[in-house]
Amino acid sequence: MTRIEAAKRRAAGAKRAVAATSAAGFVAVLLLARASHPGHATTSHATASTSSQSPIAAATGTSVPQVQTHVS
Amino acid sequence: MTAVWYTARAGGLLGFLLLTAAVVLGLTLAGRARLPGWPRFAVEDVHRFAGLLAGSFVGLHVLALLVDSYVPFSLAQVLVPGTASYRPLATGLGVVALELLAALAVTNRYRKRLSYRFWRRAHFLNFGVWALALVHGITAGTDTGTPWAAGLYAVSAASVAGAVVWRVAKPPAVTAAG
Repeated sequence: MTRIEAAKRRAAGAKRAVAATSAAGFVAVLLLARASHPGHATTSHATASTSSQSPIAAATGTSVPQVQTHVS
Repeated sequence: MTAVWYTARAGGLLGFLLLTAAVVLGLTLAGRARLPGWPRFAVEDVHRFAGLLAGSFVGLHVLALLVDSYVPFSLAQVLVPGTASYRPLATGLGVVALELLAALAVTNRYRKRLSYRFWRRAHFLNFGVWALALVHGITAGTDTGTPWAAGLYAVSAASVAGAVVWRVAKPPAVTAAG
């Protein structure tokens, strides 16, 4: 095998590795996104989490008043 | 359906990470770094592939935003900067980055028909695309406040900054012409 052929094989392997890592990374980030901001109500009726409101509502201030559940 | 919304967020972040990888590889190429067993054409091949994959994930990000009903976007809102109801400036930066990326993809596709000088100058806009994408991700992203997302943005910014410093500090290659 020539050095050019070896480099081509290495590049092909690197591209496969990038594709596989990206696919795995996509699933990992998707699960992290789901865990960090589920997009639906996750708390009881007595308290409200910021995750229960749409980001549009959060950004435009059209959400219902939130009950603070902790002091930072 | 929130699954589409998760897809939009994950697609955007993966697109940004792959764009970061493509920029770092591009800087490595521009600086003529010598990697044992990796001739220039092989690094270029991986660089192009990372760019294409970044574009694919950005496409997935936009498509998911169009389909999603949790954070609805119209076609006009993803094409015209500043028209979205959700953080218009932050999303507008993403729209500009997307359109620049599409324009750069066209210059890459027709690279042989363009002068090298024009293509190279246009290619520098990738830094702008990357910077816009970074600010867009931080300011518009729902996950910015989480440690994992902040860490990914920090590592990406540090990688590109490090590669830029290496490229600028590297002495120019000595050619046969002197």
